[in-house]
Amino acid sequence: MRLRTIFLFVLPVAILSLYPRVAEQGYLTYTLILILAYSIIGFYYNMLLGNVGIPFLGPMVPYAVGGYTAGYLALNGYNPLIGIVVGSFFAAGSGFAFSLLSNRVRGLYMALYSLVITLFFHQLIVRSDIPAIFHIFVGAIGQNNIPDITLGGFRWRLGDGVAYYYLGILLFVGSAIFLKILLDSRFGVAFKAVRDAEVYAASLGIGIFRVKVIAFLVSSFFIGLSGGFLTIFYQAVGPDILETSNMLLFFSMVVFGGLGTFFGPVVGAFILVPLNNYLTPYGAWRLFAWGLAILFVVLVAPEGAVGKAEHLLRGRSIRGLIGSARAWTRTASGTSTS
Amino acid sequence: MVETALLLPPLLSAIILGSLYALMAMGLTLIYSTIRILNFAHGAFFMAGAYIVWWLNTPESATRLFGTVIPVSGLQIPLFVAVIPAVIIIFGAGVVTQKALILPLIRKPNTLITTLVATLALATILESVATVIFGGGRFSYAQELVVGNVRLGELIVTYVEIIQFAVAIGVLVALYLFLKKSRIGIGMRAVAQDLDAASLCGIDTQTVYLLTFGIGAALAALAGFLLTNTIFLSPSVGATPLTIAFIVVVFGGIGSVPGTVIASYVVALVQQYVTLLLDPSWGLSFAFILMIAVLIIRPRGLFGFKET
Amino acid sequence: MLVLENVRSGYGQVEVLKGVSFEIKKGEYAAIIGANGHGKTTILRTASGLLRPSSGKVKFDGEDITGMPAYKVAEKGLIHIPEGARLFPQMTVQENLVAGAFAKSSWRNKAKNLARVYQLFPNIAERKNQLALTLSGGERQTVAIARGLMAENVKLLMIDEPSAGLAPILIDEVYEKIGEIRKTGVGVLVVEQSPKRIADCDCIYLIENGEVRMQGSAREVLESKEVMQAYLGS
Repeated sequence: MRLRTIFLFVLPVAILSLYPRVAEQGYLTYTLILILAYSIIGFYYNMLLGNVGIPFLGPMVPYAVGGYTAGYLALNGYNPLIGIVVGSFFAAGSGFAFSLLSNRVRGLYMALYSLVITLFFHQLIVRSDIPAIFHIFVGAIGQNNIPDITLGGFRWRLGDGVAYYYLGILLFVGSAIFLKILLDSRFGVAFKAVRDAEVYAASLGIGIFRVKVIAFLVSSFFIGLSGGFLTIFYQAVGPDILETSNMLLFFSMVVFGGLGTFFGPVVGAFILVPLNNYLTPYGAWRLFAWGLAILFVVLVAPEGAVGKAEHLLRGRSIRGLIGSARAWTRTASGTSTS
Repeated sequence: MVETALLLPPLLSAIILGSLYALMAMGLTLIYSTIRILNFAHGAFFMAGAYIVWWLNTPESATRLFGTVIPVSGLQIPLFVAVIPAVIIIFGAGVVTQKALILPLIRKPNTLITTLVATLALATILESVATVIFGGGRFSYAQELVVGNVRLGELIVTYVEIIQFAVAIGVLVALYLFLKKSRIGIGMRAVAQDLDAASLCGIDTQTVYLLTFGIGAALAALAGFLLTNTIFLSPSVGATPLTIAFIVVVFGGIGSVPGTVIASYVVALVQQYVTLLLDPSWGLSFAFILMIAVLIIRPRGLFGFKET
Repeated sequence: MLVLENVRSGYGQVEVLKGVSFEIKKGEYAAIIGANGHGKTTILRTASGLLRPSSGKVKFDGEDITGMPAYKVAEKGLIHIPEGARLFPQMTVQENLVAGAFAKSSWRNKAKNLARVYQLFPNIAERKNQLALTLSGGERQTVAIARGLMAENVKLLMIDEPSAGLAPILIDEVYEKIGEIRKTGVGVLVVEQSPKRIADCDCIYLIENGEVRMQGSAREVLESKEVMQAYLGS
């Protein structure tokens, strides 16, 4: 395993796993659970946006589908964990619907249509007279008092939700590994091909539509997984998750960390989720600070935090290589050129 | 069967609303067709224009709303005068936005996504500033623009509605003439159709960008003022008009001026008649459904151009 | 009139021009030839300001215009007619021409310039209210050149591939017009493929791999057998 992976990934995860044994900070546990969940969303939204290059403005939809489905099943007596899994599959289904869209439109039109469809969806579920299929969305109030997970004979919310914490780590690690495998596989190559040179890729025989469908299915599955997890954790969900303020949060994570980088969204989540929580009591000022921060990042470092770091490190190592190469040639030729 | 007498009021409303939608969506279309970016802050400019007018117009006595003091200028400038500085200020805001926000991003990669995020962030900032200054309450103007109404056969039209219609149409016609005949207008159209060729004709494309964004924002601000004579003003008042503007440009084809105008009336008609036949809450939803139909049949909209 | 000194230019990471130098004198008729992709169009784009050179200087009429934005360069009288005409598709012929007179000094005299241009190119006067995208290839090329001439004080006209995609008889007409333009004292620089047309040039430059490989009078260059075979087919 590469040194960088150990440093950036394995070590922090190990620390995180040990953390609750050492500390008893309920609020910190809560925040970490959120960070883990949002990182998953960040991973896969970043994959869609940055790796495949599809300007998709509706990630809130699979999130909502996953969340509401999990909540609905939990409210109707099923094990919430089953609810989360089923929710993920339904979320993937909603992703499939959007993939059909991607076959029809690209670029700006894709952005516009996906956004407007999401707004439409929001409009639809706040109605009180919606058709039966949407009954799981139950209007403006959403779902409340969703039951807790009780696997293993105890209510998971006890002890500051430590059980959720470990589940969160499990889901985080699982989704991260899956993403890495996916991006390293021929699918990862196909994603980049679709992003950078679609026509050329098509001429090489890569099924463009198939690649997009898979991208949407996978990303929606995991976004829905996180949505289901958070819904069960919060024990509630409402139509406000479909609003543009939520889209801004998802976007911010990805842009902050670095579009197209791997760990970027995690960094983004680590910074933005606690920031969001910290600022919540300040009402409108929270949004103000948020907007300002995003604006700053987009203008100063659009490649994101991780992108900027990579940029700086790469520069260093190249200079270092050149320096050592020069030194080598000097000694090898026996003369000193100064 | 529905009586003809019932069919006319929605038509009238659609004509008035359609003109306002066109005014709103036109700014979006102009900005996209010339600068090639989607301005998410358009709804915020709409809202800001209305607040500036409100601030200039509302008397001190009205400030003790909700038990808290809401800042007003106390100048009590009449509405139809106050709209002028409001539009000019928002024009300036548009110019600054283009220069400070959009220009740096155009030169870097991923322009579509970064400008989207940047304008969305700007919208968030403007909305939160409005909330901080004015609170989240719903306002209306201290006086009606013009009091009274007129009868057209069996229909009743308020003078306010007539003014909304007249101003919207007037400005749109003026805009059309400006684009068609004036030197700057021709320059704007040239930049929209071929950037390099426009430069080679001696057209300063950077200045055209600034003016275009300014004009787009100003149109939104004007639409904001006009519409808030009949709907409440609040920090989130721009959200629905922005959504409608998006539907309009998707339907009419973003980048097409005639498409935007026609689509505005179609969307307004659909909304009004659905409201008549079903209920108001379905009005917007049907506009969405219309847009999905467009997606299936002709994704680039009625008059849209294919993505190059 | 137009001087390039050791100009290096390109697109992003790709350097196309690797140190190009030449001088076009006032009123001269010059041509740039060479195989595709070797930098002919890049030279024009760098001179007119669409591209900024990474090093070197561009001077026009004694003034240093290196890095000057394209619209300012056009105002100075250096007019670039780009490859493929690049008319404004949704505008009529007349609107396209009027756009060409955008610069303040030209706009004042746009009626006069319009009349002058219609006199020079009577066949497009007939089509003045037709949309540019409905025109044929030859008409488009004519309108493009006419649009360039709408500027008030054209000193040097640079035309990128005036004969591209045109039937021979139309090419004849285009070059006839170029001749008439030259008679008014305007310098002309063409980028061309066909050797036949540039035989009466004062000076020809051969571009290979982003450098001036050879330059000389029309006779010297065109009679060089290697040039003929290597770059112009035969």
